Amino acid sequence: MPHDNIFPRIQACIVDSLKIEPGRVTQETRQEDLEEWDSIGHLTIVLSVEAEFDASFQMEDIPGMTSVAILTQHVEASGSV
Amino acid sequence: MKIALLASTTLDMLPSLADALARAHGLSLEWYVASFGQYEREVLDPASGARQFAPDVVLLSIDADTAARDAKSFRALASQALVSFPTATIFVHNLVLTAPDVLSLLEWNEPESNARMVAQLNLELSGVALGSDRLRVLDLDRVVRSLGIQAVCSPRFSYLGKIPFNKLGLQAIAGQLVTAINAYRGARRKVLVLDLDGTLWGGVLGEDGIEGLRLSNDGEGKAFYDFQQLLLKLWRSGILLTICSKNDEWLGLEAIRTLRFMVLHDEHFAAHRINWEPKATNIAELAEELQLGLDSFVFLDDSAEERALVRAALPEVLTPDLPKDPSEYPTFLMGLNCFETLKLSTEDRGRGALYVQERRRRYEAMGAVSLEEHLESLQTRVRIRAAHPSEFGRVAQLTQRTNQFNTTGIRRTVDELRSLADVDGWQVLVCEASDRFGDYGLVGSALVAQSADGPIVEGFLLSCRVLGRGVEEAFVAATESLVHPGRGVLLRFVSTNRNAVALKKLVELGFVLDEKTGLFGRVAPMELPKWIELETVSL
Repeated sequence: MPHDNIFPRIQACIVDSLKIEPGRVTQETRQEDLEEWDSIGHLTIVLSVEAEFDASFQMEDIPGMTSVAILTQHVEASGSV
Repeated sequence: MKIALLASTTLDMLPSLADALARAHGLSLEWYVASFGQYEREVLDPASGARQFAPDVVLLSIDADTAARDAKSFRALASQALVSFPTATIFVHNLVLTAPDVLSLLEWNEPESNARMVAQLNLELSGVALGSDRLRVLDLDRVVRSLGIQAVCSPRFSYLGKIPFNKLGLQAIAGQLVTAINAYRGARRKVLVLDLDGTLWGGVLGEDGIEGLRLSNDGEGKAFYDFQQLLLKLWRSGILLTICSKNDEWLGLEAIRTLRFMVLHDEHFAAHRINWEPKATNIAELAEELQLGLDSFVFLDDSAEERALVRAALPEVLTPDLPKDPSEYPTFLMGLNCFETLKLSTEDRGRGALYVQERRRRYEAMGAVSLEEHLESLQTRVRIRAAHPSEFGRVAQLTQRTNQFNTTGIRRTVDELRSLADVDGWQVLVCEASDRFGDYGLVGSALVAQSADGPIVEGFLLSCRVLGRGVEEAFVAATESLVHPGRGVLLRFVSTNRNAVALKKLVELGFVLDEKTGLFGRVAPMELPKWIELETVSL
């Protein structure tokens, strides 16, 4: 299942971007669960995910990519994995 | 090290990317990041967070649109930053045009073009840097162009959150910043050890003969010619060039002398080892001959085998994997970022020539009858005087680069020296030396603090190029007579793993440790060697 391979990489992007403990990011994590996930933190995460998967998301989709699940969907849809 | 980041865009990701790179250099960075839209207030307001933070380094990064919209403010900002942060080094990104312009083909052909405006502002910024070595322009434009505007700029993130660059771009910008910070700390390699065959020219001298070597100002051989041009530029900036080649010595030297289109000549090489000994042995000998640590050496050789041997035997020497294709040598060498410096002193510009004079002195010494006669024949002249503030850059460099005759090992920046002199009242003395072969320039410095018990020398530095010929005696004698006539000075010695030479010399000169104060002192009047001509300039 590609999902399993994607998650650790997305998790690492979030952990690095927000400088938090890995344990705080699970497959169910959403923006509202992490106070560090603010507006700049959000863009930092998306920039990291783009670099990690060599993907380029549509600008209009970026503000809505507010959970691990949604990020995963977009990575899968980008065809980069 | 404290860094204040003042940007017109959102560069909040820069610190963590730079931290990761800085750690690899053993550097730890402490950041102040201005809130969005606050960079001007941070500079102008005396009570601003950035000014309270008292940074060592300020990075000013203004985007081209903002600068072009209000050119007057941009012009004022750089100069104002110098005033607002009186002891910090100010790094300023030059302006980069990333957006396509409506003028397109007319870009450079119409008076109101953005390209003209940005070029003009960048030139003015460079003018500020020419006027103050505390402000350094970081060439952001080059970083962006070398990777490509499309590859590093992110219009999407710029609209969403004023983030002008993607991660690739930010990483490159962080890399340049850390390189600059490293240069600010004075970490610079000093010596290039060059192989001959396949490195300075194409072909194998021993097999092809001098006639068969590839070096020219046209075609394939021009790659080596251009590489030599780059090496010559490094030599002019104070990097020493040496040769380490497996060849017969006479043949190697003959090729250097006679091969057409050689850019580098005998006068550019501070020393050479052209023989059949292992290269690691030769490089260790070169370090001894030049009296420089192996950790300041870079070894370039096209043979992977030779590189592996040197790497195993001398891990302190930087031995990078040279690309296979000589056309890539220049970009590769500069990409190592190990010869970076933020400012060139007169000594830097003349260093290569000084070492060649020294090499010729050594050869002449072989013909001299006794050491004393040799020293006498040198006609060494020493001049001791107070440092002019404009020379603090060279003094800082001495604290950063002198390892052996350095009584405390403390590295100091220009800003620290200024503060010690202006705020704490330290006296900064400098020592110049010359002999009949040439002028060594400014080779030593004494940093003298005042105390209730009299002046204390808190730093005594002499370049290894003048050690062992009586300059030490002259410098101590002159320092005593200038700062505490007739009564001598106290001296603090802090042992490092490199300065045992200095301690030995101090004891020879009659310095004795006072266990109670931990300071060295001496009572007997200093006797000058008769072959030294000493001039002191009263403070």
